Amino acid sequence: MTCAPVKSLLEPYLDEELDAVQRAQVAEHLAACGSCAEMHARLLELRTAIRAHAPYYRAPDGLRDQRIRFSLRQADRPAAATSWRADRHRRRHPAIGFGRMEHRPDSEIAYLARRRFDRAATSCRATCGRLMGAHSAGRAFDPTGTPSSLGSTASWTSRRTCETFSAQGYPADRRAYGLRGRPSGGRVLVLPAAASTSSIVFTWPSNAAGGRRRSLARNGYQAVRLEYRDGMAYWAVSDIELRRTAAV
Amino acid sequence: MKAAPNLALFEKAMLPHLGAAYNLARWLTRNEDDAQDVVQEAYLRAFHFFDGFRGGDGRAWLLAVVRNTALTWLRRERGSTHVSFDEEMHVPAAAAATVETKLVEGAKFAELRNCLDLLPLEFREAVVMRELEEMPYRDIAEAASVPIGTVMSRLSRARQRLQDCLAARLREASE
Repeated sequence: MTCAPVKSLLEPYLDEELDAVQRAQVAEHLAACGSCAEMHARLLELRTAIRAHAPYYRAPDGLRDQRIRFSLRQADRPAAATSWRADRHRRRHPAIGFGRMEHRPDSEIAYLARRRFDRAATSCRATCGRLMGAHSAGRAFDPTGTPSSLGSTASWTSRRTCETFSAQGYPADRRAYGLRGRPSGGRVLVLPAAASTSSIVFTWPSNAAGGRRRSLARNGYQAVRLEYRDGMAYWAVSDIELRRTAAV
Repeated sequence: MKAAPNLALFEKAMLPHLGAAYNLARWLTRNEDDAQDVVQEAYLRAFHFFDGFRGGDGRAWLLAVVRNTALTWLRRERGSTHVSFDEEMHVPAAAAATVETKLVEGAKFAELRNCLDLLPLEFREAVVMRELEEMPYRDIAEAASVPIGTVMSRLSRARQRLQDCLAARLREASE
């Protein structure tokens, strides 16, 4: 075998994709040809470098059980089993979401916040993306935080946040979580609105001073922009009706 | 009415490949949070279309779903920039390593990762599936929905670009 066909077979040879005959032919050629052997060595060196230094990203703790299995179980419920397309349709046509006001468990509200609301036109980045993407030096969130201490004492990692929002729901009592180390901070308040319903209030930095009041509906959940104050936009997300959401 | 797929069967077949799914999503989105969202959505899609899975190794089938979900995600998110904190870049090196070793290793790590990140998406995914997942050409072709010849071509061009990129970085470092 000459150099030309061997060069075209070097990478399949490296990747162990050749049959036994071709493999033997290439190996025989490499033993006798310095030029091709050098090319092979460079490819091998690159492979070694990639496998040694390119990170293999490990799935975060909680992704399997607290997000994926959780959402699969939600999807596996009889009412949800056939609604995948309808759900996608509602996402494209949010107004259809009005009128579905049945009570949802707290954890599902969190699920909405993560999977639905944060993809709305209000920018995933500005809401949950900013909130949940924050990392800190390792301090757990402060369960005793109050609105007045937001940003000064509390912090979380995205893993903790996902645990909090996606699987464990959120505390029934009044809690506040702040983000530490972000230029202008992102905050979320969890406020019980009534015994059987709950709301989540998001705040995040916004350049849109003032502006008109806006609202969104997704799959029976309501979101309303409450106000703009001190550079922060406030949104409330709830499974209760819009008027009551705003009242929170 | 379409019958719901069996959740237990689905989990048994697909959850073992969560690591591969997340790694691919992370390389494609270049963002930890987006990768988690992509993987979660991909699993929901995969569950819905699980009837189309014909058995065998589910990794390539699942990675095809992850890839398509990631591409849809990237199209939707195009134009936005978001950089997440990279835990791996901030993990302290082993105490036993010398400072010099750490610097050299850190430089290699950063250069290689940067060069990989610079690859076009179709090249990057081919390298990730071949070198990090050690998938055969046939499975990569299935996951990427392209012929095996295209996989070989993409891998070859990706490797050439990586070699050029690393060589250029080394030259810059030595000047």
